[in-house]
Amino acid sequence: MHRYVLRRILQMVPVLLIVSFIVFVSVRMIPGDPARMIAGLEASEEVVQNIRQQLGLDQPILTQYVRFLQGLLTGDLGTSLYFKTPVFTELATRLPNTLKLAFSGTLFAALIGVTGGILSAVYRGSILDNVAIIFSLAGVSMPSFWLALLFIQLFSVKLGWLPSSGSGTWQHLVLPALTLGMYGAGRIARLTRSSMLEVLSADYVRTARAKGLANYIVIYKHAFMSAIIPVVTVIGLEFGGFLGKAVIAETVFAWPGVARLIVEAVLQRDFPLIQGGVLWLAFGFTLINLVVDVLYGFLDPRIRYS
Amino acid sequence: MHRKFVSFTLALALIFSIGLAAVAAERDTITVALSSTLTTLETQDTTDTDSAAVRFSIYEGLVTMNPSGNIEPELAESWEISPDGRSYTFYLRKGIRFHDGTPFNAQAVKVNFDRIMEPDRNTSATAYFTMLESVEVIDEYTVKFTTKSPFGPFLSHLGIHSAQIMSPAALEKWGEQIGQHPVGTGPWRFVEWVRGDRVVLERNEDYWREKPNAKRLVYRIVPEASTRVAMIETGEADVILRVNPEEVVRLRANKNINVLETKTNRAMFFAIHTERGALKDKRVRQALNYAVDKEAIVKSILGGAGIIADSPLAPGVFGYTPIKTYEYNPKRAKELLAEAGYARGLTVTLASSRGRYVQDWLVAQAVQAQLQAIGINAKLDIVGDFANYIQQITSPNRADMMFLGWATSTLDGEGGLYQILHGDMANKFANASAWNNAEFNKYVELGRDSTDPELRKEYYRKAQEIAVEEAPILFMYSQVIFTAVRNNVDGVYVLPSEQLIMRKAGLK
Repeated sequence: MHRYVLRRILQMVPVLLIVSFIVFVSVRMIPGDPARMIAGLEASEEVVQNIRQQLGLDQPILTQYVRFLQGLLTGDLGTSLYFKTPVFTELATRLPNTLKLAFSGTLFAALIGVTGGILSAVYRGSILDNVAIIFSLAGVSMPSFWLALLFIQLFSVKLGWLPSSGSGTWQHLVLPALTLGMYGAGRIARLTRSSMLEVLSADYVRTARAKGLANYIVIYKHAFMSAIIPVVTVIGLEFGGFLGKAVIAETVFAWPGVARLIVEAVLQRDFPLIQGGVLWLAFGFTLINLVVDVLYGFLDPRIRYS
Repeated sequence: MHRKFVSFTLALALIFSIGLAAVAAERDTITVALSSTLTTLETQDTTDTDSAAVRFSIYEGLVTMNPSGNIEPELAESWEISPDGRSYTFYLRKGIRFHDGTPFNAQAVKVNFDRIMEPDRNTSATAYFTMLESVEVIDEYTVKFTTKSPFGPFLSHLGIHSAQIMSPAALEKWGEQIGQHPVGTGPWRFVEWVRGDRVVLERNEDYWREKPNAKRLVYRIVPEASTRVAMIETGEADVILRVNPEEVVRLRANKNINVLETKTNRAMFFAIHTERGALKDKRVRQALNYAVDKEAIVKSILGGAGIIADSPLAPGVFGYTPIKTYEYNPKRAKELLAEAGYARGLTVTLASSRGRYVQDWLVAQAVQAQLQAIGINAKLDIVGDFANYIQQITSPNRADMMFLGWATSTLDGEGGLYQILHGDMANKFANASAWNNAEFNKYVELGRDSTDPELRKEYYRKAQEIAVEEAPILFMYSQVIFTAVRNNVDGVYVLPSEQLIMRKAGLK
């Protein structure tokens, strides 16, 4: 087990190297000049050229990449062109916000999704089932941008219950987390439902019932614990996906997260910040995959690592 | 079951009442919702309008721009210009201290401008002060600036935010990190900056002019326009920037909210590539100007928020003279095309950014349709990514006509005329017209090299006449922007250069 985890962690190194190279090259391939964005529209071509030199952007791409890797080895991600601050600090101050958002969004999605999915499977064909299906369909298909604006209109402007934007208190977290969680809740509910239905019609569940076990024990212990594996995969993927999807919630709710930061960095052609940000996201994503894989072993004793 | 339900409901009510308390802001604070992420609060770096707005609260300059865009004294009480027009001697106000206690004096001014002139420093301020030769301390409160050659708009350049004065002690202490630890002489002093979220300022108790009556000024960063509108409706923000024209009617209907209208110095136009095919012909370029119904566009797409252009400069810029508006006259446009030998029409390519200027891409679509109406086969390319778009200005493969907005931040005609139309800049940044007219160039240079305001106005008038007649650009309108302010706050204004000024803002 330990060796398995260690090997997986070592496997992350080449993955991250490849990601860093692809990002490094592709940001330099897209049109747009960071030096011009720094100098401002009024600056002369001469000033812009000087900035390019100062930043080493006039060097061959490979030279620049080697310099970037050298920095990386010493833990230095470079300086943001846009903010003039270390990329590391800029990401580190925003990341906790995005994680908070992703955790609470995932939690909400998992709670609502799993509960809804189970109820809907157990009471299959009932009104409850149909309502859950409609809600999960709505959750999956509503654009989150529109949903976010709808939440603000309802909870902030009309009812005045929650702040429309910003950060600092838990109240600020509610609307962005709800927005983020809605999609995941729908997906998780649908998956839990179908997974549960499959298990509920299995022979061993019928046997359990025939033994005269209480209904909730059958559902929880026999059915749910077997049905959960695919659900865990999706929750893990949802969490990873949240980091990407967070950008809409972070923008609409003015939440100071890392996803919005990276999108802004792309618009400003802030190369070091884009590189650092994508690298962090890639690292986070591979880490989550690892956690999900390890979790399988706990949930299903048949799965062994070698 | 019932008891459980009741306690659940009570718990919910409790939770939301806490939320409610948090929403109602303290009444000694003014909150502003800005639209873009703040970059740095160092005066000399970057040009983004929102960072500049915050800097205007913290810092002051030797001179400043008043709401109508005229230069008036600030940290300098008065000044003298030498007869050769190369030296400016400033007499500084006495007894002013920076927020960190450092006295403001001639040495402080010198430290700031020497920093701009450092050979390795290539910041946005550099662009404005390439003409500067030296800054000398004459005595404690007298400082002398010398330029390489006479430079007419010098005072206007001193009035922009990049020329505001930072505490020399803070510069010494923080070096290149000064942008996160700003120290100036202004009415508000810096407290904290929560990255990506807000900047908090508090009243400068030792301010040399009238102190603000509010205790705190908070700038929030809210990128989404609809969210800003919600914030001013709920009272979470007292001032919001960049209200879209379609939201103005709704906000005006709210009796707690005033909507300010600012005529900016941003001239909107299509640069016409004057070195390409049919567009080399002046008559074709004039035809393009006659073919577009500017009034209809401003009225229907911008909700009336635009001043129809009658010069390459926006009204309010020094030297602006109304020359003439190309009225909507499709018949005349067709005649001119026929005269030039294009009776059967021609093909032109158009390009526009999306979301950079107010409704830019919708305006570009309207222009495309109107050009098609007189038989010009207009093709439009809309580019959402601005960094990519402005890069095209210097590209040989750029569109025949690029939709651009040029803000003359110094509010001096030199800025608008030289950069976008002078032959030196042809095919460079930002003369996308590739226009090079010797006579026009001459008048712009004469205006730059003279320090006599009346003479300069006259030179600029001549330059504008030539530009309007030769039509290297399709003249559109100058931009009007909307700012919403809640009734309980007064003294808020927006400069023609689009920066929100909160220096005199107070609670009623």
